[in-house]
Amino acid sequence: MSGQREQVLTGLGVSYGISIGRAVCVENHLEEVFRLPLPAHSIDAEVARYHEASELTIRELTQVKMGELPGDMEDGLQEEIGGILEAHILLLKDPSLVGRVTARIRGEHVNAEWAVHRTTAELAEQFEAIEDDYLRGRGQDLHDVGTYLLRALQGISHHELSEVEGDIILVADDLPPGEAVRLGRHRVVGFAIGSGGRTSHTTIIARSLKVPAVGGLASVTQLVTDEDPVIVDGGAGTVILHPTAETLEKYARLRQAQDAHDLEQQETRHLPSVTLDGTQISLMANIDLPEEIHDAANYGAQGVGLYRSEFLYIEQSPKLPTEEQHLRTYTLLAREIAPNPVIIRTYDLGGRKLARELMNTREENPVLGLRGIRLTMARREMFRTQIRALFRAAYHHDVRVMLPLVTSVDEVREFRVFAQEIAAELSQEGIAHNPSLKIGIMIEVPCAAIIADLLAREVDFFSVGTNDLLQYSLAVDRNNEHVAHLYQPLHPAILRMLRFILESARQAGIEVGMCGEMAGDPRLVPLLLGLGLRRLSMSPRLVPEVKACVRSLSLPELEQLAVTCGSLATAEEVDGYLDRFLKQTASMTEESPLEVLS
Amino acid sequence: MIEKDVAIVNRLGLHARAAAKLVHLAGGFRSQIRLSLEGQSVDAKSILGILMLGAAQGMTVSIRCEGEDEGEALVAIEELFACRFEESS
Repeated sequence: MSGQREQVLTGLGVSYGISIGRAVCVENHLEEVFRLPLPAHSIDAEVARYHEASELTIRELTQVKMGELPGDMEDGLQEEIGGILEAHILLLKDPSLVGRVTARIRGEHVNAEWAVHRTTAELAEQFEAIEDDYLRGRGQDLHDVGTYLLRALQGISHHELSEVEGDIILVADDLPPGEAVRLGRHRVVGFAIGSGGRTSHTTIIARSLKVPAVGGLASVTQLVTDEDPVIVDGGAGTVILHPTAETLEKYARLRQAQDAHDLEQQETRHLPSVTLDGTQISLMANIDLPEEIHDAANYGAQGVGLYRSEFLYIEQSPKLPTEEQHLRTYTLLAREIAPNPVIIRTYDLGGRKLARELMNTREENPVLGLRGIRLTMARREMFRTQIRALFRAAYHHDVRVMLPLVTSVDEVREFRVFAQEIAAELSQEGIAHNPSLKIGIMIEVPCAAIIADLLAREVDFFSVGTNDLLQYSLAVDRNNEHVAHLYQPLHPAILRMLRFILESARQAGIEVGMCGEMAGDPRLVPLLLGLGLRRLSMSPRLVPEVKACVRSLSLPELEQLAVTCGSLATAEEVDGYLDRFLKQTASMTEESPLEVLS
Repeated sequence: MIEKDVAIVNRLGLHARAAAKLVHLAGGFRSQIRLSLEGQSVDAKSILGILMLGAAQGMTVSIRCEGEDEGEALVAIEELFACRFEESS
């Protein structure tokens, strides 16, 4: 659609970078229906595929109708069901429906799935205009017929994104994480998503795949047609539809400049991460996909501070990964980044993170429901496989385990008993493992922060998960625009919690890190170091910038900074003070020859 | 061409099962058969058309037959409507 005017949509930039490609819209209300443009020569075959699916469905429905219905069913009911099946068969054969679908395949050069989906959805919509309640509800018959056909089509041979040519920008209202992972494997160079905030799963996956993404683009799927040229600028949070030739050229240049900058940043990977006064700060990587370990190494991360192992599961759900698959993945990660440690967080499923098939629970408020460590203890058999692999991986490498959503000492103890059982089992089987596998916990719920001193005696390390800790402590959903301004990392309550967590860890002599987004924010790093953090884990790409920041700071000043910030009454006051501090440091570094990274 | 108005007397109107019966019946004739209601006219041999007509109990639809067997067709269809599509209510 070359005649259309350029249009700039502004959303939330959730994954950095610029990409230019062609749109593919994903509709996910029905099971995976893609609108895939097809080349002219395959249109006849596509129409034939539709007819084949239709005939197959009719044969199947006829068999069902002829077959015996449950014997105790009333005659009237039998007749009614037979009548409905008959109506569905007639609908499938209806020349008007067949005509509409084939006309759409031929006219729009699209796959049969899409043609069926759109046609039945449009027809069903027309039923909405019918006055009589009962008859209006008959739109359902159209939906049913659409579903039969889609199922048959998908059985006959499924269209995959890999059949689309060129670079793809995926446009969707929302993408379940499993889908995003699967689709990301193809030549997807960018995401433009209707929903989704900075911590949504599409975001996490887009970042992991180093694919630019912009979320929060309301009704984006209605504005974009397949094959439209689209630019995604994840840094600026914009998506440009129908860009002019000039715009395209401008963004191609910008992308080049960014790539160059990126390479430059990677060059800093060999520089040590130490403050001006010589204190070692360990900068680690948060990763979701095993492939990202290369980024971690390239950007100079010293270990993996958080591997979100649920992605192992999400990638191949509903199948569960085997013990060997776990072991292979953990070993691969550890080997790539040795001798630095790799911290594996056990599946953090539940809450909003899919796994419905595992949970089989209907929860009113799943975020406060069966998830994290609670799910681990409730579904032990599933986790046994993972824990066994962790014990085995730790035999050769510095692999550690971390438990999500811990809220009490009981949970830690219960897990330890479970882990000991598993270790004993491995001994009995004569399988090499490390019985003193280090067990740590996420501090991400306020109650855990408040009893950090008690928890510190029971575990080998802490990792502060600031994203959840902030949301729970401040009772703010950061993705909710009405209250997003209340999501304040510098809230005095948060600073007090951090201080207490760090102090508790220090007294117990255990290690403590931070793996939330705060850890990767160069603006907050001076305060975090001042509070006593020595280990920060972040998205690999952020490591160079944070390292540059660390290398420009001097610890004694930071400790003073933290003390002062701790005495202030509001997030705004802390923010203002931090601002003045940063400006001062910046003006000092400008004169200083120590700016190594420029 | 012959035309006649008939009332819908069965409780659920021209719903899926009733429509299916009508399509089968109409399909047996060579004539062109159309139903119309409030200015909307549909092919009586297409279930999709009939369903979308949204003809409920108490409404009156007009049946129009055109072709060699139009007379028989009209009588048969009228009969189906009158016997409430062989439903109990």
